[in-house]
Amino acid sequence: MSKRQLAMVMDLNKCIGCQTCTVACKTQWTNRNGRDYMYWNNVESRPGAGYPNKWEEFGGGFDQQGNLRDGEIPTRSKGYGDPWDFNHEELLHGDDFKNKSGVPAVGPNWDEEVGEGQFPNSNFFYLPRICNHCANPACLAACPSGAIFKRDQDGVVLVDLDRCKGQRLCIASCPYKKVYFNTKLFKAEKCILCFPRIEKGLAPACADQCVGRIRFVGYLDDKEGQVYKLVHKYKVALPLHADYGTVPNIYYVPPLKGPPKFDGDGKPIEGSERIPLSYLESLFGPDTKAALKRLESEIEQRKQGKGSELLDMLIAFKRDDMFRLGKEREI
Amino acid sequence: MHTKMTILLFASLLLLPSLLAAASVKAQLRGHVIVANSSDSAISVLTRDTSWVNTTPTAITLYPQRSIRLSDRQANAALDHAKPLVAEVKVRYNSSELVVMVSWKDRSYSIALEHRVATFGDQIALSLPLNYPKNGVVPHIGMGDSKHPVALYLQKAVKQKNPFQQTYLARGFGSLTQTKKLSAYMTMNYDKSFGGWRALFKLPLTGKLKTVLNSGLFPISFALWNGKQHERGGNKRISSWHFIYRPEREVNQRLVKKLSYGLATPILGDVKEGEKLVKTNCTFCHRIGPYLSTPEGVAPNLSGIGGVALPAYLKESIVTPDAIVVRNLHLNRHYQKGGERDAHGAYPHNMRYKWYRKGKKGVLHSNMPSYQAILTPEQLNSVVLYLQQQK
Repeated sequence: MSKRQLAMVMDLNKCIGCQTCTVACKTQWTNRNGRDYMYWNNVESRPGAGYPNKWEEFGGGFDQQGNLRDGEIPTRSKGYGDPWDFNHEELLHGDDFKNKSGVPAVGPNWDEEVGEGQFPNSNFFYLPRICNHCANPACLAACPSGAIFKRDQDGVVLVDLDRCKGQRLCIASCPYKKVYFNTKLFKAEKCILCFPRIEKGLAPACADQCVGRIRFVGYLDDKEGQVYKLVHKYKVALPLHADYGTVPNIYYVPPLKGPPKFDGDGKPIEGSERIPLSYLESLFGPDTKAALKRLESEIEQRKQGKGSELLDMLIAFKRDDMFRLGKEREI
Repeated sequence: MHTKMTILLFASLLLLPSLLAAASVKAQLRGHVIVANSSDSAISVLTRDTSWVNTTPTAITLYPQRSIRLSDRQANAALDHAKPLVAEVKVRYNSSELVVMVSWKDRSYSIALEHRVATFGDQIALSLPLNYPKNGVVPHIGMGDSKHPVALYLQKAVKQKNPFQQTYLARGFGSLTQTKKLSAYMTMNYDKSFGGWRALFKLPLTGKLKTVLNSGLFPISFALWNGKQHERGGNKRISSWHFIYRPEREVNQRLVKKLSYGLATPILGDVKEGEKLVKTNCTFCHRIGPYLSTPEGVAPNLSGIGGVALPAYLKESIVTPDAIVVRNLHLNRHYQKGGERDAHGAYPHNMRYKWYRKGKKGVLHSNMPSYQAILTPEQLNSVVLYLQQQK
């Protein structure tokens, strides 16, 4: 649909869940004017309900035949989570938590680091999420006002606020629930992949600020770029929920299997899966196994003192190489 | 005394043709005429004003919009069980403005609230063609079509006493564009004792709609949304085109004649035969009534079409589908899974779901073939009669 496609790769093995990306995005774009509740970028713990709460259950995307599927819009109380105040004074003196609107059931980042399983065999990993700037965006297809478009030069999916009528069908149809409703302007708003920054040769704020250097940004057709190499050459970066049929353009290097599980005596169980492959496959698809195998073999290669272009990239030793936006930084 | 009588007699003779015309127009377009009441003075914008209470209402039935199906699960679930709704319309005018008042029952008062992402306000909209009667064509009921633009006036309950009001121009589904070129004074108030909304639209007889509003007979259609049912956009109830009639003005009888098919007198046809013909000829592309084997979106869904389309339009669209070309919503709602993907993996549109094609000079042609040569005039009547009864 677009001439070029800008994409992002996130290495989940290096994400420490510090939420610096979330804050970078929020301070840049969503801390005002009806956007206050939105997180264009969020980092959720997996396994977990994510944000908005249980977003995978709201439907949307495309079916097996390529037809748009119906979806629902999350509510603030059940999906996004309404903000609340703590009764600090009482809590300090031993009282229970009280809240005017009852005890909240969900909130952004509600189940952070809860994960799955019992200690010492528990597991979780962090999953940062932004808009996927899909090649077949369900939001764009669903919009009855023709307000959503995909930029030709970089494939960034944007909302034309002049045409948006606030009908929220994009929100219902986005299977990732990454379109939000501005409750002051009554318009749909979403991650813009920091296009004003990109136009000045700067990486998106979330990627630029990432302390773990997990985010690579570049064009998918730029064969010299690290994004191309991770996605197409080494095939270790996979889209999230490709089964939703929107052809997403944010890719993830899946988490390695982690340390083995322990038996009742505290001894490691050989060959055990801490993070079950089946769970990773439910997120990143059937190519996960091959991607993990590739990573493991490259690690093995490196251990033997041989070179590995893949690991040299993933270690992000040269930060400037991570962002290839096709132009010099203007700022 | 004698003179007075003569004057009276003379005056009533003068009035006679217009009274006759009124009866004739109402009979020709049975059930679709709203007689506008003239007023010498300023028209009150207070819906409870006695002048409004004393105005005779016209009942309009609005049917769920099913031609296109949008993608909200909750709204669609409600739409599947949505029933027609009756609204009362009153129209008054003076030398400078025409005022339309619409009242409808809605027990589930709903307003879109600030800080809430999933609340929807009750809404009402009026639609009027921009170029009527100049070209004599009534636009497509779905917000006009590529050749016949419409003007829309929309009010939405956003916050109490502060409704959202906008004016738009449109040329069919997906083309709604906000404009500042249409001016109107609008109000929308919930009347608890009535158990519903009363909305008022004061349209000036000048400006972009000058010719339309000053003609003797012009089309108008209505749309209502129930916010509680998640209705917004295409999920709504709509009326068919109705006609506001200004008795003192000239009416183009030729246009009335054209529109009177199936309204003035019942269509002479056989419904059973019509159903059989629809089943064998139409259901490969259209969904209608119990015939739902075709996927949604291949062509406009004809379920309930009789409630929203005039019989003259139904006939025309079968005989000359190119006369009014309806554009479908974004083509990528249906993409082709086996098709050649572009450099970035995007799937192409599934052309089976495209309703039109572009001809020379960008003129749109309907992908539906003409059935003029396929159906006999009797068969055509039967098909239209069957479609007309689908409400």
